[in-house]
Amino acid sequence: MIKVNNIVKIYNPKSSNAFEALHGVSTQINDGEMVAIMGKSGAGKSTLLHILACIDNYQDGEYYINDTLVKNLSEREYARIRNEKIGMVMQDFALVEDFTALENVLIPLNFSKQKVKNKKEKALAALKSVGIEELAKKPCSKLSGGQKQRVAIARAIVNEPAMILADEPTGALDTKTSAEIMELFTSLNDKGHTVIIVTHDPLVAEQCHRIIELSDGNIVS
Amino acid sequence: MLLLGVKTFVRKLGQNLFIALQLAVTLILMVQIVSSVENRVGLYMPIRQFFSGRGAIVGCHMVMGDEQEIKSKFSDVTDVNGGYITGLSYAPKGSTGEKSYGAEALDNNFINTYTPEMESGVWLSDADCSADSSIKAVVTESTFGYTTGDIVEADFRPTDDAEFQNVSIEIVGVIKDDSPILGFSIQIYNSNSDFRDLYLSNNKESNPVPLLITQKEQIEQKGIPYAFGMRNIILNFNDDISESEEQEISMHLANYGQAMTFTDFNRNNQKYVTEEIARILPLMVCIFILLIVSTVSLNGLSVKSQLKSFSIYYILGAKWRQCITINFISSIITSVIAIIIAATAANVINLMGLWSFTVVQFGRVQLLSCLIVIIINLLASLILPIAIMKSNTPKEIITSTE
Ligand SMILES: Nc1ncnc2c1ncn2[C@@H]1O[C@H](COP(=O)(O)OP(=O)(O)OP(=O)(O)O)[C@@H](O)[C@H]1O
Ligand SMILES: [Mg+2]
Repeated sequence: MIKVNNIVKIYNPKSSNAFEALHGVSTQINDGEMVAIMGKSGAGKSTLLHILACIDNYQDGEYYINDTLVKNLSEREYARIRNEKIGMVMQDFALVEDFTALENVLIPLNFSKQKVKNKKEKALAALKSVGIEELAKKPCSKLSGGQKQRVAIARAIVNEPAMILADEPTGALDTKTSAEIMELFTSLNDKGHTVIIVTHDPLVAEQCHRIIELSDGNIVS
Repeated sequence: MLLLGVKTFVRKLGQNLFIALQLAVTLILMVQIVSSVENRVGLYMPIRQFFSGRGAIVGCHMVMGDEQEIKSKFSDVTDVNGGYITGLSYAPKGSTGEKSYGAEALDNNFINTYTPEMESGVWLSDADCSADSSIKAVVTESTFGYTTGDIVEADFRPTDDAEFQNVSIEIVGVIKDDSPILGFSIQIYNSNSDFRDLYLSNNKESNPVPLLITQKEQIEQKGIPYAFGMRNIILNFNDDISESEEQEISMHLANYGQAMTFTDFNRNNQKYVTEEIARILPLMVCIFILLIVSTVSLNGLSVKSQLKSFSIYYILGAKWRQCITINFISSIITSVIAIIIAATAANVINLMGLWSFTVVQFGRVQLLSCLIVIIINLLASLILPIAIMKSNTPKEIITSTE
């Protein structure tokens, strides 16, 4: 379970162009839920997701993962949470383009705190579960958008995190591929992963259990 | 992590090879520069201890006797250093003719001060010159035909009216042509003389008669006569005498040859060394600037090109520190390749003989200077990513390219 409590996010806090992107956001997402975060462009969706993914800080409020307060932790702790607890699918896939699909999926395993055995088998299994095992040796620069998204998802799940975060995972894909990717997320959710998806697409949001609506840095529903 | 470091290197292979090449060029320039500095002051540093305080250099026209004799004639002389002439005579290899060529000697003081470059064998400091062993000697390259391992049959008279005695001398080394030899230069003093004039460079083309140098302590021990004379010698005076007294004693010494006070001599040394340093300094500064500018910019470029990947690693659970380590590993590989390129290039240049115009040696100083270059490069590859990553969070890097 994750809980955010009055989260305030200010960009460039000490400078003259300081900008408050989140004005005290509170919500709770239970284990095994599949949630959509919606809202207009600039509403603060990505900002919130990045805070949940521990790749951005916040100025006020609290963020709990399973009752652990995620605030002012050591760099090592943050890295461990990102590596073990969270699978992040970034808006533009964030793949290392000249690595192969397999090499990309191996990255989280390489930074794992514990010694991981059979890294390659694990990575291949993750690729298989998103249906692109046969592309393992292909450089990512040669993959289509849908295939890249699958690699990104495989990479997000390879460490079996409890929580999968995705920023507009279908934004750059055609309808058919979008549907396939959403199927993937639904099946991951069925397997017990908490899934949080930022989206503009009502069809995507429809498939989630719940919609969190953001507007100008506030949760409106 | 090591693997990711290697991958990071391989991914930007072209760029990293370019950096390695730049580094290699800097290394070669560095060795070259350091060598030429060393070349210019390398003859000065070891011997400057001999002309501190008061004293004079005398280019003898005649035999002056040993240290005791000189001291007894000049009460202010406290120490004498220089090459000796000896009573030993020998002939060219295989010749049955008269033994008419004289051998020289050096005391341990000078033997240990400067080692000439050897064509073969060893310098006297590395030979067994103990009291109970045979007389050892080194020769310069010559037409006499002596090489390392040869035995020279020589003779001498212990005193002027004694019978000739035979003695065998073992050649332990051959001094390379044109290599400076301390102690055997002859009277060349003029007001411009400096430390370089205390060395003799022999060349078999211009002087076919070799210098055959033995160890003075061995000569003395075997009862062979020896003395200062016919060469330049260094005389130290009492420390408490004044500059004008130094001048006065030198005037008396001038009866034996040209004499020059330490005061004048050191003025010339100082002038030469400062002039040489001043000549090289601009070049050194240029190379240093080149080094700093190129390492910083190339490393910066390299980090910038890797920044996106590092941000991805970060999002997936890497610490920034690990990303810096990965970059560092890549830099180490670059440095190793640079060293290999530089060493190969140096060997090729050497083989083609392109370095003959300056004497390039590879010694401790050169190694140290190369080490400094490498360390600066590695430091840059540590500091730059820290600086670049400080100014951007990983999130900013990844979202700004979105
Ligand atoms: N690094 C930043 N510095 C300053 N302001 C920022 C920064 N990142 C985002 N913002 C601002 O914060 C607000 C929220 O941005 P955010 O990216 O969270 O919006 P979003 O809801 O994800 O929009 P979109 O649907 O376009 O992706 C926007 O007004 C944006 O301009
Ligand atoms: Mg967004």
